[in-house]
Amino acid sequence: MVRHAISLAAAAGALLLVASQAHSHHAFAAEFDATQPVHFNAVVKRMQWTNPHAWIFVDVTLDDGTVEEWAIEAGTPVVLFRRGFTRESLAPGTEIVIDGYRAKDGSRRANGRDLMLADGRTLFLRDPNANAP
Amino acid sequence: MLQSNAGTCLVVACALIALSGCEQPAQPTQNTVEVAQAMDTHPDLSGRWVVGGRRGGGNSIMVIEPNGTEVEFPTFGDYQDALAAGTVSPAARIVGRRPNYRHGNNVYAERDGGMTQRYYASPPLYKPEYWDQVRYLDVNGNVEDMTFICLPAGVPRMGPPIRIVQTESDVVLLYQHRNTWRVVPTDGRDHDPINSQDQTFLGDAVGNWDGDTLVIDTIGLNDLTWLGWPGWFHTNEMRVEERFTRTGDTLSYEVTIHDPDVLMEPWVMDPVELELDRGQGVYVEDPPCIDFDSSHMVTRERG
Repeated sequence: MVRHAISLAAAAGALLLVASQAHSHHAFAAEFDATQPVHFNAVVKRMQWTNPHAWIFVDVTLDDGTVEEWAIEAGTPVVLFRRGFTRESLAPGTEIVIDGYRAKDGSRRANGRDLMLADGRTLFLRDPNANAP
Repeated sequence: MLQSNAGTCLVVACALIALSGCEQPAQPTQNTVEVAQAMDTHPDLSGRWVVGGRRGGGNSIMVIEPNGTEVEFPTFGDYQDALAAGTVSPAARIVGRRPNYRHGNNVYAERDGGMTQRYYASPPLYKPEYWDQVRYLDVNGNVEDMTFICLPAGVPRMGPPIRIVQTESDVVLLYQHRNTWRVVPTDGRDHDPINSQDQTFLGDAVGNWDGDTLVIDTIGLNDLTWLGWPGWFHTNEMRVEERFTRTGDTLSYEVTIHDPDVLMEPWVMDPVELELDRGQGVYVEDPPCIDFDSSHMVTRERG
């Protein structure tokens, strides 16, 4: 249980590491809109372990009951692996809360910023002094 | 460590003589002596190396011991000190590194990351007729920079190795980037006449010792890779000179780019200092790269 929680914390922390690699991939601003934050209660469908970013595919149930699939961009796989992230960390069916920024092209994609468990615990290692907007 | 290797050679030589049934006294062969002398003359670069090391990132890191105890260190250097002092287990796993992005979010992370890609004390000086090309490539990097569509960064953009294994006749360089490896001969041979005409991401490399500095000379590179984020292209006539100098537990990595077709003068990249990593963590695979973003980019903004 402890290991599970830590892995999730690591995963969420790594969401913030998009630009930490020597050769970061795309530019955030070309693909995602900082003025369109999204907030989802979602259920994990699957993970995609690829470079330059891992992706979390989730189901989001809208107020009218409609279910939409969204793709959430996460950190670099190697960073996630190094932090103890395993295939168990976000197993299919895990309920999570995602905060991120929506894709500019209107597709159901978002750049993940925070990842939380459904019980409200914030699971990332952010600098407590950071003043996030 | 080198003494130990040389000793191993002697032991092996003695064992071979014993197995052969030869009754001659177990004297080291001439070859063994030469190997021992050659190895003694050069620093051993073998080890795990980490960029920035003690000063890297400015972030605190958290590790978890095998028994579940969490320990947080203000810097990576403090973690390394604890490893050396035996106060933290080498088997402890790094589970988190605190990001220090502006406002702690991805918006600024990428913008700041893009800006730092331009922080060179001495950028390459292109011939005037190529200034427009560099500018075009920079502005259109989202489609022109081949790393954006998942091609390898190549030499030298992929940076220094994370591990070096040195033998008497070559050095093996291991990179996290795309699980890349290079085996560079250091036996005095010249460039391979055929391989050096290929156009590859890693080129044809040979190593020589300049005093205590290992100098790796690489040619035969393609022109698909860049030297850096701001549109810094190169030709397939480029020659890359990498210099590794070990001083204690630090390794200086200096790169000079020779591409006289487009550069006014050889470009000396900002040196990188690596630090010996005393950790014993398991290396992990760098998964394949799949371009999942290009078709969704709607502007040319980068960073």
